[in-house]
Amino acid sequence: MATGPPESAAPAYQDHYIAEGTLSPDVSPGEYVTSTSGLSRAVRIDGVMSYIEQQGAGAPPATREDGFIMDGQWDTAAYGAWSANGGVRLDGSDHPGIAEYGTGSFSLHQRGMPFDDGWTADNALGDINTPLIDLARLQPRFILAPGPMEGFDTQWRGPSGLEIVAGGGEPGIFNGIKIPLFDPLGGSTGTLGAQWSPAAQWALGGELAAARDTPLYFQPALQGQTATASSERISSSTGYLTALWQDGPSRAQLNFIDGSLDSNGNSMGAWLDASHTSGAFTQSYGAFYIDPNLAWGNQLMTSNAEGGYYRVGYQSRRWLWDFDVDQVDTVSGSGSDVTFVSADTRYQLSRDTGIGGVANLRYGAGDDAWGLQGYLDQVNSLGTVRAELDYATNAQLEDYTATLQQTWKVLAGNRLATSASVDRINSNPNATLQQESTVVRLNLYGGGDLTARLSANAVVQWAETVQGEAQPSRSADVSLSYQLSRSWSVLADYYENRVGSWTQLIVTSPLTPPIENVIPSAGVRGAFLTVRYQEAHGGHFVPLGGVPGSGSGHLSGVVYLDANDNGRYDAGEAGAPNVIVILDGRYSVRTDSNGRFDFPAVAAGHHVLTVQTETLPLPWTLNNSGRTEVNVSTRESTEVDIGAQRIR
Amino acid sequence: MSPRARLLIVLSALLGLPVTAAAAGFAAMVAPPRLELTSRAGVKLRQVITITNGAATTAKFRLHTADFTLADDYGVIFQDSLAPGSCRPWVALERAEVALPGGGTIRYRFEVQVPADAPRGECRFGILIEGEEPSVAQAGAVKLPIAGRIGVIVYVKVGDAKPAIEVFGPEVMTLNGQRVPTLRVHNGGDAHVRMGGFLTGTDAKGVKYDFVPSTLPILPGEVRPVYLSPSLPGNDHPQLTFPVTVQGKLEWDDQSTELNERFE
Repeated sequence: MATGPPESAAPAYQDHYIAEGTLSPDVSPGEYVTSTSGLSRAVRIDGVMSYIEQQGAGAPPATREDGFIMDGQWDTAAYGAWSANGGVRLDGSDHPGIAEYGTGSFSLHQRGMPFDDGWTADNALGDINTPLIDLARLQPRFILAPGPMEGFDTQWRGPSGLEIVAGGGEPGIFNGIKIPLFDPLGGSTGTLGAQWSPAAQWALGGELAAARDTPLYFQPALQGQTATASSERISSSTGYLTALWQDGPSRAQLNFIDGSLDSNGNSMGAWLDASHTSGAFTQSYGAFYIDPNLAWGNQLMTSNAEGGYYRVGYQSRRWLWDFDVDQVDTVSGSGSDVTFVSADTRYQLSRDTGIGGVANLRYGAGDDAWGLQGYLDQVNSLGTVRAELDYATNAQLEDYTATLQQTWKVLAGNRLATSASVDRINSNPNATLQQESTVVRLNLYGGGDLTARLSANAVVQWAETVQGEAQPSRSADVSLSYQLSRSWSVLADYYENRVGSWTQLIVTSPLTPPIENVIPSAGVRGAFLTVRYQEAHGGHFVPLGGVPGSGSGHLSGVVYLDANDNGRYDAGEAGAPNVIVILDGRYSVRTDSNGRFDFPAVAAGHHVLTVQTETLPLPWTLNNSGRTEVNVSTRESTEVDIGAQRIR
Repeated sequence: MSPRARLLIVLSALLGLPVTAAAAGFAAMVAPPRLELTSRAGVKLRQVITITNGAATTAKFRLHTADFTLADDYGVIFQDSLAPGSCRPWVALERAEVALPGGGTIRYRFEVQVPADAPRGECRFGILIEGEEPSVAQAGAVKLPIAGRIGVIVYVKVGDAKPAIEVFGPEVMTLNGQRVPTLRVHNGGDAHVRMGGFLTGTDAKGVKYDFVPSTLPILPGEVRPVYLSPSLPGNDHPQLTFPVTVQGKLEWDDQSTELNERFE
């Protein structure tokens, strides 16, 4: 692309025109910005109508999720950036699989309110997550997961790295398929923490978390499932202390935790994580001891474990490899040592062709398992293709999978990826779960602008059993959006989620948060019709993060679950819905059901995107909060894919 | 360059002032910035570029094709008159003018009809999107009108068009103030090329580097320098000490050649 003044006023050559220039123009009605004066402010209101039914024998009657979703954002000169988000359900019986179906949710956020001496404050009210100090988020192995609550939080940042956080409220669960709903669980939870940098290389912090008379919260174990809570109520009190040392490419963090869960007495734990980067090599290592029965608020954390780990990785333009050893024992029992070894390598044969492989071995505790993966990546005239073979086995079954993925070259503004795989599962005769089956799977991820007014997005996963007893699996989220006028648009969405009665075997570290055994689901499917109203003021001349008159560009992207860890969004990989993406620590959006997010007008220049990792489903995480640095250019669209990794 | 723009730059240089262009008069977003397509004789291709009016009010844009060449510094020089051998007569645009509401987008279509008797080769042209209303360029206190524009570059390979590469060197040239190993590459084929590949090497201090070939286009008939920039993990600005030896495979299109050179 080139810019600059024209050579001459009139072209010397007369161009030809399609159909003599009579083609009807394919023009959108324009953005919903209705005035350009003042500071940036915008509102979006969705009216949602739905029809949802549960499939299978004995399924309950169809239900509805009708209501409204409201989002507003506005900048202030002296009180930071504000945003309000809410949803209300007007109609509908219980959601299949959810005992208490929320009737609404609301949150109000204020970010980056400035004070003298370099202090800023973030405050929030409503259905939010409990706050954490930044040092508690930097956990490669043991996660202090903030739980959803209905309450308030405040976070203050000042000079010398000083940060103070506090929050409290009633714990609950987010549910709802399209409309964000919150179901309070009763009881209370609260947290208070602070951190400080006494020297350039040091940061110290601590936080207290408590829960009273409330159920334990369990994050969704599988994509498409909702969070759950235990039936019994607990109380917990936990304290956390941490010290971080960081000097250029080296860092080490020491953590202590101490607390009690109900009448189980006092439990404590400590863990050390360290890493060092030298040239193309990065080494990470650590040791841990954590008693059983530790919780953070009303969420159980990985506990009852002692051991250590070592990981070394190498990255050059041509080679990428890492090697990982975990040794884990339970604190409470004997003879339960587990050793996990993982090796992963990739070699770029040429500019267009790369090969790689992964080997995993888990040994001990009567659950020996190992797996191998090999793949070939190639850029071809159609796009990028990956051919992959997987084998995994444990005491229960053997699993062979062959997969072909293709990311297709398509017209600008569109995207398309497909994959096809055959999965053969052989069960051991003594296996508790018989899964003798051959399953064919087809996946599609795509979308884009069909016309200037009509756009489509689709994530479809389909699996059929060609041999054996396994039940089929379906997952679809297909949406069409049509812009009626500058402010009004209509969205139609088809949603289906049915989990099959089989699961692919993945050999993981014992430190990985567990994925529950798959329970065959009768499935849910539904159709949603949304009428959307959008209005914005000041958006063009006061772009997000800019000043009046500054240039702006469009920043959008997707947060996805990078199942094959290749750093690319492939078909069959799910977008992460309802994840909060934050621009420059000030402006937040929540990803849609396909994991997509959108900042329509962002000031040209350098920006930082981060992700609230606690809003990701387990066992997925993002290093460094998914911090992604982007440069937005004036008048250009910037697309960012943020891939979450499976915790290993 | 137009007399108005030249005047502005001369004035700026004389006054020692930066040149800025206000966004109000020309705020188009165009995607993609470049298309690289393939076709065959007798085939008609239809493609789409999206143009968005980034201004708040309705704006008109004029569109036309142009031939282009690449300057020594890779600046694009557009030419409105028909260049010898130009394929612009194969190109049909959707319309000459578009009017877009504030924030509005057009999916602007164009076609390339390759004649049935077209020989193998590469059709190259630009589509220029020009603001109808002049922008205001400011040189200090002096404001002058200039018309902004964006050019989309289109390459269409016809038939089995391919680059044919000859590599000359070694040389050492200065890139962004740093001396770097350089090769000269002649493209004697009938399609443009971008070089790539995986090269490693060692400098006089024994430090090992990866070397990244520059990927700017080399048009048929051109000889261009291909800079081999050093890459060292954890060091954003590695400084080479010559002499430097470089080995590996230089790649382009679907071909490659082994390289083992000493640069001093």
